[in-house]
Amino acid sequence: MNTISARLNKATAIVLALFVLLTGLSISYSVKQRAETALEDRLKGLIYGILGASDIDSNQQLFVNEAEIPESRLNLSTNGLYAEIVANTGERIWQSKSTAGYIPKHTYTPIGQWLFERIDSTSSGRAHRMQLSSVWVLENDEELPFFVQVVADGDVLSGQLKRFDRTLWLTLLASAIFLLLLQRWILHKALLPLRDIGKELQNIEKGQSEALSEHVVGELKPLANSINTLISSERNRHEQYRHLLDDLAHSLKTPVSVLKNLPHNKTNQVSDAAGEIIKTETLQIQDTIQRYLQRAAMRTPAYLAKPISPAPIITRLRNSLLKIYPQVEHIDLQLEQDFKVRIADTDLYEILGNVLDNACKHGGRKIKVISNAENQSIVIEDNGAGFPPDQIAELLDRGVRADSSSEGEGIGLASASALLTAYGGMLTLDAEFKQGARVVLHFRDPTV
Amino acid sequence: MRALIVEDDNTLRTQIEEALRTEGYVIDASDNGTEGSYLATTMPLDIAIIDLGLPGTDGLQIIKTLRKKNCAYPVLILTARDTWQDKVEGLEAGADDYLVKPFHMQELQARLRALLRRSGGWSESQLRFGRLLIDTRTQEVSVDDQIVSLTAYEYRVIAYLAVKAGEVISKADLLDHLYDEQSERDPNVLEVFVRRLRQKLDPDKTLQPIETLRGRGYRLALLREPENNVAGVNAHNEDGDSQTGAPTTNHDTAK
Repeated sequence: MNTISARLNKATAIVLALFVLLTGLSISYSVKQRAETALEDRLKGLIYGILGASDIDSNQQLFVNEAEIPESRLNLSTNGLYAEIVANTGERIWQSKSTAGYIPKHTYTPIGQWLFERIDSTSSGRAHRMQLSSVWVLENDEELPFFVQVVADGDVLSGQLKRFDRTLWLTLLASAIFLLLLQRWILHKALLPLRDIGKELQNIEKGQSEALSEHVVGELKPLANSINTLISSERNRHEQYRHLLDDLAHSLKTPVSVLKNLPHNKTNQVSDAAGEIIKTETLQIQDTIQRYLQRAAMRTPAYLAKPISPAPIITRLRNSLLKIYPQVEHIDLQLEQDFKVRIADTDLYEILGNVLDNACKHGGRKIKVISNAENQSIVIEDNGAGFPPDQIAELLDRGVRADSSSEGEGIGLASASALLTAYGGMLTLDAEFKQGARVVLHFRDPTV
Repeated sequence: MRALIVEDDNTLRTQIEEALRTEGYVIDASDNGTEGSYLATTMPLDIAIIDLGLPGTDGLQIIKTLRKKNCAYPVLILTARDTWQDKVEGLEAGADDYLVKPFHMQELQARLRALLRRSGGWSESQLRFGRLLIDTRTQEVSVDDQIVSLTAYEYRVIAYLAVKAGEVISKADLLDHLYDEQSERDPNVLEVFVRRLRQKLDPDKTLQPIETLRGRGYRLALLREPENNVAGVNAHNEDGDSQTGAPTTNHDTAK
């Protein structure tokens, strides 16, 4: 998955695996080195001990006083640790009671030189030997060169090292798994603000919030501020475009009014033919203005609109419509105050105004408006004649062009429907409602 | 009827003035908000047509001011701003109706007639007082279903008294609403009109339509007949639908 979290987890896992491997190898190697050094020191000490227990007898022969040897194992018939003194001639002068799996032949080395080496024997496994080449000066100034050699079977050491290694790797593996889980948790926590911003952006897009929250972590504050500024400036820019287009369109309407009434003006001697041309052309100008205004209105992305409550708009429209339609007895409002929709307020006025105006103009004397926050819908019912069932589809399919009907009926509904659809909603006419007409405004498409 | 027109476009204002004069209106007109506001609050008006975008005081402000000064006559907004938000703001400011530009003159005339009737408590274009019937749309007056031939001034007198049925209208008031400032305003001429009206409407003296209240003025003496409230008919578009051919389109296509 191409996410920051997945990338960080993968990178961390690789780094951690490398770290564990290198640490393990390094510790294992160090411990091994240290164990061998310790063995070397111990074997040296044993050689010193044997030399200390050695003496020259009256026959000028070298002997070892075994009782004085510091390592009692050499005096027992055990296996694993072995010592011997060999004369320069190859004659064994002394050997311990104990023995070892493999006893190598001594190696000629200069007097006073230590030799420590690991022996890998295919037959008896691994061993370590320590050898010192020394010389005893006899009373007659004669020298007696000899070698002291101690052999320790390697099994003990390698067994210990193996156990240590196993414990080491198991501990490191457990630590790695724990650290990985810890790292995932830390990452999860560290990336929470980013996820929160993602959720907030989704909410803005859905129209459930207006801007990113100010309560973000310090590092993300500049990003959040920039996004908020961008949304706000886009919103303003969009508003400005709409206002400019509105101004342009509306400034044309007064001269169009003059032209439109020119053929009917008695003082202006306009011929019938000229009057007809004026009529056709002014209608065309009027249509063009309406069409472009409508197109501009439908280009407002939902996320640029602030969430607004339809309740006060419906109340204002009700009061205005009751003023211009005195035959309407009452418009009953059943509105949820916390119900909000994300639509530019001008467009919400148009949608609700057109639908309510149609209900007043073609509907009955009693109108009811019910909002439902859960379904994100508003129902407008009237007790008028209702919609002819065979014309329901046609009423909404007249398209956005206001001039597609000369009668005027239903144009408001088609216009409201087109606007609502542009915001991802839907306008439906209830053919089943027999007491009059029922229009349902779904601010969220119910089919999705 | 005395109407105020506040519209900054000279050609359009002149067109409206001419159209309304042919209907018998007395016109006060202005091309700016400041003068319009003065006329709206000082002249004895029956109705006002106010454009919203005006130099000086804007149209909404004029409406608010005249309502604040208790001027109760109907006001029609003439606007290029055709969004519902604009309409609601205009109606909340005190306007009674709106007409969106570009419009047909017949639509404007029909709206004005409807507003004037509504201000007198009528919802239909025909005002019936027993045997007397006044059709504000065709400007015809009939008694016992026989059309009576009246001059324009005679019609204006009876129509004004009918719209203000029950109220005593002084001669000065009648002159104000029948003649503009430039005309010669002779109360004796008014008395002649009223006498002729009585002769035409009531040749056998059985109807007695106009009552003279000495020193106070005139009053329509006939009782108003209850209207037939037909469902679906309303003062907003009843005239226009049948007459202009496209006024509801203008209304409905306010988008």
